[in-house]
Amino acid sequence: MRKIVMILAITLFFAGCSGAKTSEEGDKETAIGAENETTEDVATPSEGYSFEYNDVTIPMNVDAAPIVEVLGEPVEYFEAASCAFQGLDKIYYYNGFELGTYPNAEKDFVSYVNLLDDSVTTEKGIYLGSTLDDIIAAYGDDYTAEGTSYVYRLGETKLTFIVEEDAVTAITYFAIVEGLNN
Amino acid sequence: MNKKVIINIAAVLLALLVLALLQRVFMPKYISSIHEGNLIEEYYDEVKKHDVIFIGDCEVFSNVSPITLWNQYGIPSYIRGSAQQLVWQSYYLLEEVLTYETPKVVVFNVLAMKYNEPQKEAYNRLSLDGMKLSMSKLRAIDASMLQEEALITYLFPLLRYHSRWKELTGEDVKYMFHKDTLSHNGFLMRVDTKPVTVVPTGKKLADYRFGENSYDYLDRMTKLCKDKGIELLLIKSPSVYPYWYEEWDEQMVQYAKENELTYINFLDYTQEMGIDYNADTYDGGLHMNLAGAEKFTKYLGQLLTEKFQLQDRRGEQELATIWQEKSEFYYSMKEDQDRELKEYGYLKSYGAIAQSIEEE
Repeated sequence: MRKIVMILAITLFFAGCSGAKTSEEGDKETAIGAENETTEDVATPSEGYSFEYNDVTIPMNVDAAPIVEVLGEPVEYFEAASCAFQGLDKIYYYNGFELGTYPNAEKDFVSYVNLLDDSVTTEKGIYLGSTLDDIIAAYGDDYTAEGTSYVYRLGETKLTFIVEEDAVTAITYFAIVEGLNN
Repeated sequence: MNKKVIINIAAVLLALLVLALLQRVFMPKYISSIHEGNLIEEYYDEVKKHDVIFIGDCEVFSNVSPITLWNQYGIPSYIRGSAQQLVWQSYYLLEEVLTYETPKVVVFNVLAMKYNEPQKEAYNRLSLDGMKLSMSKLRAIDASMLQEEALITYLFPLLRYHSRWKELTGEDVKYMFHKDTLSHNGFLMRVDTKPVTVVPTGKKLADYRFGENSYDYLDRMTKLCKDKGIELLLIKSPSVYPYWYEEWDEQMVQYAKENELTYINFLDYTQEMGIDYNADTYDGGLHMNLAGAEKFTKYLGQLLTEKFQLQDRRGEQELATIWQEKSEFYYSMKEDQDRELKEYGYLKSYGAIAQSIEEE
């Protein structure tokens, strides 16, 4: 009897201890069960790119609710079941930019900010229509070039510029989160 | 054999039995939510005599109704779909299907071409955990795992799911050995409606080319079908979101041309199909509701019949009996969903909770 108990204890010990590591950002709501960080762990990134609009700072991968509340009524709003998480992806359209969120536990987190026209700029003054030289003068040359895109990474965020014929045609801030197809 | 050896063997067997039972308890059941977690394993209980097999992501398991395909055209079909099914997963699922049966046509939804590498463990699990152990499964796991995942946790899922002990409910015990069928040959039914109000345009991309890995597995799928004498039909289902770029469409047109396949982007045929995005989707355009799925399926069925000369098999007694039972289940679920919608205002038992909370 003692042997049986020992074997069971050993097998249960191994079952309990050798769990696979799962996603770093925390897969909070899937039915597979979480053994990850909590929402709060990712709520306040220590460093990263932020978009600023009318004195509102919009960091990536933080709770979107207070930001959306301050920004006021969006021009348009879209939501659909998330492809990557349990819950809804949401897109808020404001004048000059769109703000995307992904669901994380009970909250929505900022997944990206995409600039839509030249009425808004990055915090360093780059806007749709700026040149590659403008970008490098503002952000330096520590970028990754992928085709027509120039990607700057800071913490768990990235700022992407697409440059075509020496003019910036797209500017997007992204949260770097596993499962978000950025 | 002496007594000591017998006791040792008994101890090992008992330990294995306990672990097997624990694994049964800890595995997610996907009954009260995330129903798509059951889709892959439901296939194994089927009588495998299908003329058409659909593979792909939610754009097949939400948008195509095999019951409609049977009732309208007499085409027996099955959807081996799963949430965010990646191209290599589709390939290995197809490879597995072909060990059981040889359909006349395989239909692959091409949205997944946008993903060139594994995305998220949770979605890997929804596609892979339900597969029976086979070489196809092992290869699918190998192709799908993220860096931090381990093969052993797919072979012995208890190693992955033991952390669910805090979340266990009566459901985990109730459905340890048997789960009710939730899909209709892989189709997940939803009768509720949430109109399309905004169609988000896609963000500008630096590179619109599909990745090498995606193409590699599409090539394998094409070859596998050709080797087996199966017609491969590539489709883009009529969901308006996620955004399907024109540049992506052109690549699929080109691929089909080069490989002598048919590719149809059904977003170009929504008017002919009679799809009304105010009434035919349950989540603002990502997935069709039942009305939308039936419209799309009727159109698709016509095409399958004409292009691939699929025969109407409703006259075959064995199939007729099987599909009669399936139809009854289908219409009883429709009735139940209509009732829930009327009673609660949303589909309480069919995964609509999140949206309804959002709307309140």
